[in-house]
Amino acid sequence: MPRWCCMQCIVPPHILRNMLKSRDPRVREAAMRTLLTTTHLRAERLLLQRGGFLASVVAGKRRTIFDCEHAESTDAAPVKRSEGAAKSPDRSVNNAYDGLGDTYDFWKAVFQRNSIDDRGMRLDGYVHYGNAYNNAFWNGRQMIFGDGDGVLFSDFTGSLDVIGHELGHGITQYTANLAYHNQSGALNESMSDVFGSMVKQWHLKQTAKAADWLIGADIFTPGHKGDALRSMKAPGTAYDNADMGKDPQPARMKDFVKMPDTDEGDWGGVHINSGIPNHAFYLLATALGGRSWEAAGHIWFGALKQSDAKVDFAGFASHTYTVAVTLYGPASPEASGVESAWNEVGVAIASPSRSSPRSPTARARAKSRV
Amino acid sequence: MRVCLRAFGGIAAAVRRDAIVLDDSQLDAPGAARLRRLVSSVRVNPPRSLEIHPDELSYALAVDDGKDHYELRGHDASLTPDFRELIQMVREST
Repeated sequence: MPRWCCMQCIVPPHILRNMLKSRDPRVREAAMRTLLTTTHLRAERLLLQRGGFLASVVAGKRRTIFDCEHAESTDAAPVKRSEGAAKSPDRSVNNAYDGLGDTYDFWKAVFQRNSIDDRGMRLDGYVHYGNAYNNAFWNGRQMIFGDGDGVLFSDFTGSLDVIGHELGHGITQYTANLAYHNQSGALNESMSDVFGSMVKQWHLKQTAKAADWLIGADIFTPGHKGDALRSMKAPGTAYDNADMGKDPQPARMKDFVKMPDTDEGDWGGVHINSGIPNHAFYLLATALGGRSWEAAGHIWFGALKQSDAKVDFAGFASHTYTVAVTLYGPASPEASGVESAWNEVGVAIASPSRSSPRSPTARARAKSRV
Repeated sequence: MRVCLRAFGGIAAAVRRDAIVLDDSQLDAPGAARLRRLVSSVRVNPPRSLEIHPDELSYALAVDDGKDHYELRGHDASLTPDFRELIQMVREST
């Protein structure tokens, strides 16, 4: 073994830099190779931290719940519960742990997906973020939950569909990575509502007909009149009161709300126009009957995986039709249900996907008609 | 000095939020000095502009310091410690 190999682990960088000045070419070469290797390893570690795409596949749930202790930072948050550990005395910790577990189980059981990245990515949840923080969000690697102000909102870990929604942003990031602006951003938000609602329905073993199709119904304080943040069944009706204003979500394309692509404009109304694809999913799931995560869920997730980052509503609708035809055939109730749902909300399915059935079943059916 | 804080976005982005206004005349001398120090610090050292994450909150703080009007902006993942403290100070004033 060459002599320089042993230096990779034990020689500190400042010594290696001094060694680059050595008169001995073998020492200089060894130092250079070691520094390059170290730099390479550091870059690889950074990539693993940021993307995880080089990470090896890990099986099983790996949940870790941290307590921000009311700081608006995750940097120094201590671990309060890790995978398999006993319950914490802190309800938010247990809510996050259980909610992440239910969401992981849903994705594993329904879509055979191994965590957010399909490679067993750790599920890190941070609770008690900030003081009276009225929000939950996905920061690209972790789920962050506030306690709510206790006036309008309560603990954001108290809602399984909110947890499913935030983890859903992770799924979208690792699949189509939909741009968080305008129609692709509204689809990003809608996918999270669809996934969050399905997680809740799956946990409650509900049919599409029996489900409430509300997002965030459990995050309001008990005395508050707010029903939910959004209604997939009836967008625009989730709330209407003096504290919150009126739910502005449209259900149909003719009511699409054009907003500026700025923070003030909700990046083109991503939380507003998501009502349109949300309602299309509701219409399909209820028209097909049974459980939303069966046919409708598979069509929507299949379409997400076919989408690019800047897909618009019409492009996504076309992908859902293609997936429905591929999975169930062009004459199936699923394919016609997809057409009807998008037609009902006023989104036209572009023609190329409609004429390109790709599954063996679909091809066979198409051939038999010729 | 008068500051006006508005927040945007978040999972409840469509829910109406009222702006919060804080005037240093409402504060005692140490409080007013703290407000001016934080505003000055954030103005000199603004948050780096980073990509927005889904459901992240964004903030716009309009400042009228008697001579000048300007706006400080940031979002959760990009806030400096002083910007966080400033937002917290304004929130707690209500």
